[in-house]
Amino acid sequence: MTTTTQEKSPLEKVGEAYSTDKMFKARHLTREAINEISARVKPGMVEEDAVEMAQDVLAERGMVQGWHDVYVRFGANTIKTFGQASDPGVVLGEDDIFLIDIGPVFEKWEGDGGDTFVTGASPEKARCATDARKLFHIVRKKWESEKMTGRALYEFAAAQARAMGWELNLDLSGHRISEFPHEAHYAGPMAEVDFTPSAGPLWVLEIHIRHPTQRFGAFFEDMLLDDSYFPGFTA
Amino acid sequence: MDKSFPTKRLQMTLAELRRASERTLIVRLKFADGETFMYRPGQFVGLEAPDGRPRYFSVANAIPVGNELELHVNRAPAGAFTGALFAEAQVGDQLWVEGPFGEFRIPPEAPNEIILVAGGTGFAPLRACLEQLAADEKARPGAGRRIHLYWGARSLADLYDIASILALSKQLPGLRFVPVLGQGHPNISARTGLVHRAIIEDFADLSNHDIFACGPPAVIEALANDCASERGFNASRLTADIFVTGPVCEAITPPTEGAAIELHLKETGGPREIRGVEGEALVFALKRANVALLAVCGGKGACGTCRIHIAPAWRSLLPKPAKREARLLQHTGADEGDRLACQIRLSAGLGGLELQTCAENKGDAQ
Repeated sequence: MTTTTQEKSPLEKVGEAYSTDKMFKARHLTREAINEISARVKPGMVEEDAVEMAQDVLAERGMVQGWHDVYVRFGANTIKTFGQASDPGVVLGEDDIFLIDIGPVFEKWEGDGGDTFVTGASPEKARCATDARKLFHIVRKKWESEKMTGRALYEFAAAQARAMGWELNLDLSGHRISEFPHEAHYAGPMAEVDFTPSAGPLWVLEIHIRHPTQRFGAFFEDMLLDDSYFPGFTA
Repeated sequence: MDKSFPTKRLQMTLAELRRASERTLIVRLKFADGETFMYRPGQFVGLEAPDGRPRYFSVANAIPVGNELELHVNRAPAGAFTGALFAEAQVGDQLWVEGPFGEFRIPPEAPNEIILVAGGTGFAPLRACLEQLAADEKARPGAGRRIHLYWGARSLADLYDIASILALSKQLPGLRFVPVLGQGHPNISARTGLVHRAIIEDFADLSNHDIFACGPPAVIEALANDCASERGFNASRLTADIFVTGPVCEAITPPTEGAAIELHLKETGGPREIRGVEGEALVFALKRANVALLAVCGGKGACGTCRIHIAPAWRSLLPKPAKREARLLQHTGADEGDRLACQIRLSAGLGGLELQTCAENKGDAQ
């Protein structure tokens, strides 16, 4: 874990049960579950069934509890913001897009992650999914290199998204994670903090972009960590 | 138990919009002549946003002078509703308002010396309470209550309503005001740092004090923890109005139509009556009454932290838990009779429901 010399904000407190190793384990299980859920999603599936399947996948891995709800969103529901109810009965198409956003609790520790996938060959949808991941890393690199505050990071992210041809959903942003529940320390958004979020498994970074005119978007979320935790990533 | 006022949904008119600071808008809402809107100082109302979801704001005035409610709106960095209020709202616009909600108050029987703590626009409900205390002082002069008001804000400009404090000081001779700024100011010798640290500096012993605090969760949490660990503060003497954000906050408005459902709640502090509304999930009635439940996931049935215990006579009246609830109850070590409050929809047949909280699910509420 990278150490930091800055004095930590009280918003970065952790409880007695906090464990770096367990937080990384929760991250690993979260990424595994996202991959498994995405593999089981097929065109023709109804979104509600995909959500139930995702809950089952998490339960199979011992993560029955989540600090937030399980979201699998299809098609136009990918533009919905966190917590918003999906339009019911959406069926995944052959040339479609879907996102996954889960916040499972592994034993006492919070995981949180998301990703977006496409089912066909639509270049715009594929670019949207790719750009959500790309923007996540651009912002993460900015944090790593320039030690920006949470507020500045999201201002930067919004400008970058515009430059890439997308709109960044600023109704959600990164936030704390910790031993469950992190809201005992800070339940608010990273986009409101006026300090540089510390390294280590303390924060997640979330990117939700939307097409400026069409009804689809993409989402990517993972812990805010340096390059060494993203072995496949190349700048 | 003190008087509670009926919840109403009224169309109100924007009577004033005043930028009190870069981040704060003072909004005055007028209700129609002949209409009444009763509330207690410290309570809050919901403003219905165009997306249909309410946003909650504490009322800053004790009495609706001129049929007007004053709200202090903090601009959320990416908040569509507060952003629109700042940028587009105009005097004369109509808004649907619902309330009052909340249990926060400074009771008349509070000790003679009290500490008030505001974080940001957490000043609003405290101002309403101070106005009430000033009215009480006027009615019964000589009470001489000693009030220590600490207001934490990012910068001097964010102490957006100093004028009210000056006016209140004249009516409340025992009012001591301590501004605490997140950032120092070159021309002002105000305290800087976290607001609760100023209290810890000023009081060697807080074991016999009552604190009334309004503001973001982090402010209240730090206040309760550090004052307890460093100054012997008894956390049960903290009365807090936590400015919650997120899904629970957005959902605690009851349905606009539906019969009142009385609930009998047993808590550590004794039994109390709570009013829910037919059609809403039980968790929202409990959160609205500041029952100490975490409900981390916002009533989505995901986290299991709104677990409550249903009295035996009532269990058979509830629908059986669905797969997800049953799985969560088992996973979190629930006892027989435990249910998730978010999965119980209040219906007429549940009038008089008897329940109690589960200690391990207790949240931040007072």
